[in-house]
Amino acid sequence: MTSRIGLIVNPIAGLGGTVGLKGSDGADTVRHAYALGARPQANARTVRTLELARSRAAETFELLTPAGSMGEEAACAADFSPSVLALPVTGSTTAQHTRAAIGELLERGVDLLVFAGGDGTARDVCETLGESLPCIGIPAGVKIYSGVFGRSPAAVADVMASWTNGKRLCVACEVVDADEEAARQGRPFTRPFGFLSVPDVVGRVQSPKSPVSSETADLDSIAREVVSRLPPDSVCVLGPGTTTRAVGQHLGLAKTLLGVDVIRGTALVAGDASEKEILHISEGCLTKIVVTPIGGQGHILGRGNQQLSPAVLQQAGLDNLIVIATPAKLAGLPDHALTVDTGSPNLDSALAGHIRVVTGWRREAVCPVEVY
Amino acid sequence: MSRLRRHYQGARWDEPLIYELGSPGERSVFPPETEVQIKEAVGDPLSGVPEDLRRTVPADLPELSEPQVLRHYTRLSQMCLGVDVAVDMTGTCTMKYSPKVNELVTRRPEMTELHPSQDPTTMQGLLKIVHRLASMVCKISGLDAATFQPAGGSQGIFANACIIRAYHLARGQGSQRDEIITTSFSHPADPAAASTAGYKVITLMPGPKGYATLDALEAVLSERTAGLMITNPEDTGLFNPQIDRFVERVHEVGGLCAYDQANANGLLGIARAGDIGFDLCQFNLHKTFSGPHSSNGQACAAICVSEELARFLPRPVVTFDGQQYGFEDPSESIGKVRGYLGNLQVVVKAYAWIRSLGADGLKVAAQTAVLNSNYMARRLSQTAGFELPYDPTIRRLEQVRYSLAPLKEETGIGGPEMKMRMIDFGQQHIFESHHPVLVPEPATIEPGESYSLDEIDEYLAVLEAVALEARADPKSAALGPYRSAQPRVDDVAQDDPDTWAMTWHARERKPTIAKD
Repeated sequence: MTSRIGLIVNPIAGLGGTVGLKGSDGADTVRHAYALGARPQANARTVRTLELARSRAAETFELLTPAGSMGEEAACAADFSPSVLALPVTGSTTAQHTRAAIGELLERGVDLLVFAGGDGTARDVCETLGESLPCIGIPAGVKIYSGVFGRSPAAVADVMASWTNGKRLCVACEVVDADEEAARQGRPFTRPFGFLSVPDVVGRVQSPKSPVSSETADLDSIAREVVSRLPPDSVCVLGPGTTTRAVGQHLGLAKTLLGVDVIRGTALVAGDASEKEILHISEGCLTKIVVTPIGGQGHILGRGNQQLSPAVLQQAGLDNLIVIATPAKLAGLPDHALTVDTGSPNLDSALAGHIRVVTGWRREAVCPVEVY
Repeated sequence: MSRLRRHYQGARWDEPLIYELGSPGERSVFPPETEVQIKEAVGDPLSGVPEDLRRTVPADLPELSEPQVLRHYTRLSQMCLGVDVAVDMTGTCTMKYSPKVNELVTRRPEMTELHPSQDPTTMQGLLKIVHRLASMVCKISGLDAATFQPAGGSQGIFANACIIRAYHLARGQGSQRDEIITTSFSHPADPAAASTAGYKVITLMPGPKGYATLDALEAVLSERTAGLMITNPEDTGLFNPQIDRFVERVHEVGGLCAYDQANANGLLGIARAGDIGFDLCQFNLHKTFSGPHSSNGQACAAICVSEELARFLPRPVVTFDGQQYGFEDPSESIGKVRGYLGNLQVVVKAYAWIRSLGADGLKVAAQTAVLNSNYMARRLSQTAGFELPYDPTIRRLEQVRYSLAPLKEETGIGGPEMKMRMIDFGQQHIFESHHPVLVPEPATIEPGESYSLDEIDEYLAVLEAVALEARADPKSAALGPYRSAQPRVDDVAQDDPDTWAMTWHARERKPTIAKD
């Protein structure tokens, strides 16, 4: 069956980057960037992706895309004859355009969505799609912290080629919310925003040499190890993320993706719990706190999991903090380093140094913990 | 620029699998009828085989005539880009030349007609070689006792893990000491062997200079530490200069240290495991000492241990009482990791290689390998698209892990594409990296000491040509190889267990594989 691939280009993605702005969010930034002589990146990167995808795919595929700068131009430049959506695209495009285009693509039926942009675009896609349709991002924005992007246009082309050849296993990957205003002031700040379903292709982030354990197998292996470390009747507090979600899944529990959930024994006793709830439930109980670093960045405490406050950590004791991550995630962290910002300088310095990270069943890696 | 083989063409025979050849009843050789006297003397040869081990239906084997067999395997050999026809600088593999004269030596009847169960008094010559090579590798490693029983590097590392386990068990600390420490860039056999031996594996991630820091080690040392199993220089070619401190600290908490010297090509005659303080090490005779490569079949690893650990070596070891060579079982041996004494053909080849070079020659081999590697590193660090990860000013040893990330960024052509396209110039493909991949778009190259400057220059010219093509015509660079014996293999299939089968019979049984 011929693949039907949806394509959405955020034409202004990457605009801020070439002129040293830390992003392209907001109409003022876009005007400012143009004034500084910025040129959009997304279109050219999309053209290259499509050309490479065609040359690498054994099967032909159909493209469905919005008009003009949101995809039609790139598709035509790459010599495709796309089906163009009815959605009118004139003048400057906004997040609303992206959402409307996704709506129309879902209506017309596609099996994969390819979008070009940055973290902001990924968030727009995530809000509309969730994990309902597989997708992959062409890295074209200024900031690419989310795990839903290929490493390069060529990597996205490889994913598209595998997709059309019938390789369709997907994994949930993280979309992060990077605060561009904070980044412009030199304080990088991201928090998990949501998850998209992304084709799991070896070669997208790692090159194939020998059969490697896929991300899914690594997650399962980590979950087994964590569960083996939970004494009966202990309390287990699971931070946000897909890695921690895998621990919940292993226990047959539906863990919230972005919240902190509390498990006692094998039962979920609080989903998306507040600091107060966690303190209450874990009081007087042996409590294990399980966290995973934010992908591409390394925060284990103080970003997206503020419920795990100094009080919660002190009550449980730092010996009961379990950090988990797949080897691929550790490979992608700058300097393979973790970082903490708990709000308590004393706690931060107690955590500084090196920490063991569970990477699988009876496997740990040792990473530095940096404190700024 | 060196001459490029722009018109290389691999042999394409479109050769079927051997099971797809021949026809029922076809035979290569018809052995003569057994003489009556022999039949009477032997009786029913099957009578010694227990009933339930006998086949009820004949084995399903290929049936074909001798010329077909000959052509089949000759064609397959022509389709191989082996070291006899192509330059192979596969990093971490140490593809040095295996002199043909050593093949001839091991094909002599004095070697081929021996049976491993023979009485030792009838094979004194061979045992003398084993005993002498053992003392040579002990000198080279600075350790005290050795064996060649493991049939490959990983098995040697596994045997070392077993010796570590036996040592702690003997001291009553077997269950307490359950952690083996290794590093990300050590060969994956180190964590794998430790894990197979039942250990929990703690991996130190590389620090800012590309190798693990002492601080990271300190953070995990404890009374649970059974040992350190480490490569140095690591896959990156970077040598951890604090290695003696690592060993010291592990000893202070009661652990043992095993040096994975599968590839000791940068260190021969220059640094010794024993002098650094290591308790155990292993050499792959097929890497460092020129035996031919071939995984756990006819390969061979030497493992060397300190005097204190000699009692745990696999049994038997070869002894010499001043007059006779014989066998002896070490008092607390871990048992056997392989039948008899291991693959002795490789032992003989390694012995011949070492004897032909002498102690000074070994050192020159190491120096030449490091020099060749650094010549390539200098050239490639000046080639646009290549870079040396971590501090490029720190000198690498006998191999280098490069990154093609700049080329990938610029052209979309990275390690996997480079690896494939260079085959079109008659070169063995590049080795990218072991897992996990920490260096983006990795390419690991190890020239060793056997290649000439011309051959190294040609290899560099191929890399440069593909990098140029990546800029001029990325599609062409992306889709190679075009002229190889085997067209591009679909690596998606490699990641899908449903498409795997290790044998013909497994393929026949597997419902997920479509049969014609």
